[in-house]
Amino acid sequence: MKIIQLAPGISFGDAVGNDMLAMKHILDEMGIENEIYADSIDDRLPVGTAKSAEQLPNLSKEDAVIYHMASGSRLNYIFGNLKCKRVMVYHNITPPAFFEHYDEYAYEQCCKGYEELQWLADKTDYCLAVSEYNKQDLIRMGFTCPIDVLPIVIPFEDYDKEPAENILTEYRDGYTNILFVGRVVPNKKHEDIIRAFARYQEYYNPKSRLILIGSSRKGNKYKNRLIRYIQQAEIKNVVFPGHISFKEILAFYKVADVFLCESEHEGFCVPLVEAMYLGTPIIAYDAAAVASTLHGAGILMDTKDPMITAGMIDKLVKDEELKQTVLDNQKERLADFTYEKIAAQFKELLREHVL
Amino acid sequence: MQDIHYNELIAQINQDIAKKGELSSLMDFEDVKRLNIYSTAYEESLAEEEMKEMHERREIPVRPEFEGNALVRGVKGLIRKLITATVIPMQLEQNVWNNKVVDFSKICFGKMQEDTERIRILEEKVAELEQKIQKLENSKTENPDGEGMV
Repeated sequence: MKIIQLAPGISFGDAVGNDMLAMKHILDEMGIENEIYADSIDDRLPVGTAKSAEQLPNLSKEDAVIYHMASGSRLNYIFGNLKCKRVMVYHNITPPAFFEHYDEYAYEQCCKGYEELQWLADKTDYCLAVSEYNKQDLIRMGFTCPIDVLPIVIPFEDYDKEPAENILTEYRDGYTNILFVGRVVPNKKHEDIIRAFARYQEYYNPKSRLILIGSSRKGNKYKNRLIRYIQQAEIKNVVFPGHISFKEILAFYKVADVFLCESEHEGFCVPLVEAMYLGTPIIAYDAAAVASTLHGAGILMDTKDPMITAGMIDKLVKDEELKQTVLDNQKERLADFTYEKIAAQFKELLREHVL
Repeated sequence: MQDIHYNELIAQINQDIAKKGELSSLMDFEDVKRLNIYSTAYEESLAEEEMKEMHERREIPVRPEFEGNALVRGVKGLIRKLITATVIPMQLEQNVWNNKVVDFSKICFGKMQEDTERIRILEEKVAELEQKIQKLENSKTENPDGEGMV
């Protein structure tokens, strides 16, 4: 038999792309013939990493396709009509309502994604959800096939690279740095981070800075409004570093005193695990998959009150004992995301449900 | 996992906040959206793809001599958004075309029940705007090709 991994797109360095490459590595280790196919293939990936989905080979009943689902795509229909074993890795679809006033295209893609996901409910033989939250999403959409939770595989060896020296020098300047990493999209709720930071800066620590790392499309309405908000509310020291290198991202984690997440929709939230690995204490609002990814690590907030969040930032910055407890817990949780552990789980699940 | 005593931390924070007295007001993000939706809509309407889609979706009459002018395209996008808007009254703030300021601040609509009436008034406003554009066109010294709005 052979196993094909299929996805609308495979990007360099993003969560889905890394997951696909890690699964390929595990399948190679198991001696299983396997290939990756996608509609869009990132130029930065080594030549031959993936083939065009147009070239998808004929598959027998013994073969299997692992389809990485995260949006509306023509491939949803191709996957649903395959005659081989159909395995879906569900990375989650952002609820369209978040995009309603900001991005018509994203809104439509997410609407389509949900419709197509529902269509796939009785056409999928087995599902892997990257979080318990995603598993529940599938059940709500009518999936009755077996569903297991398998976290995203994160290539931690990449995080041991040297961080950018210029960022370390520039931002280790006596200011308290609050960090968030994530695409600038409405579900991430950057405005709530900014509000909490504004309170922290005003009532606890004027010598503080907010760093918001994340890509955004040109003409991003949401980002434009965030910038207007910062200007009109006269909040100082908010930095959008824009497009930066991986080494610079590593450096920002290193100089950050707190990682603050107010996101209201995450299928997994890789930056939380990155913060755990790079030793940045986390404060995060309890929404979607955030609690299951933290699983007791970090400080999980049940409120978005900006003043209370500001107070929590102050506690975490000043209280060394609390900070150490948070970091110890994060380190303990990190052990659940090692390559060896997830690879072993994946192999076991494949043997049970696919091979 | 060690317990971080979350509830105790929250209680301490609340006590600490109580000692700070009355807090200053903090602008709500939703207020910014309301205040700026139309002026940002104008800027945002500059994205080429979106402009193309707007042209396809809705025909707003513009005299032929203005076709292709970036400012007129922006105005058309703005008008489309106004027509489909549900929140009125509204005030459009200043928008900048290179170094020249087109003042939209006088465009303020009262609550109107009928779309047809709204469109009629909008069409009048389009005509006014076109006159302003014409004046700018006549005095174009800094921006000879009429493109490149901020």
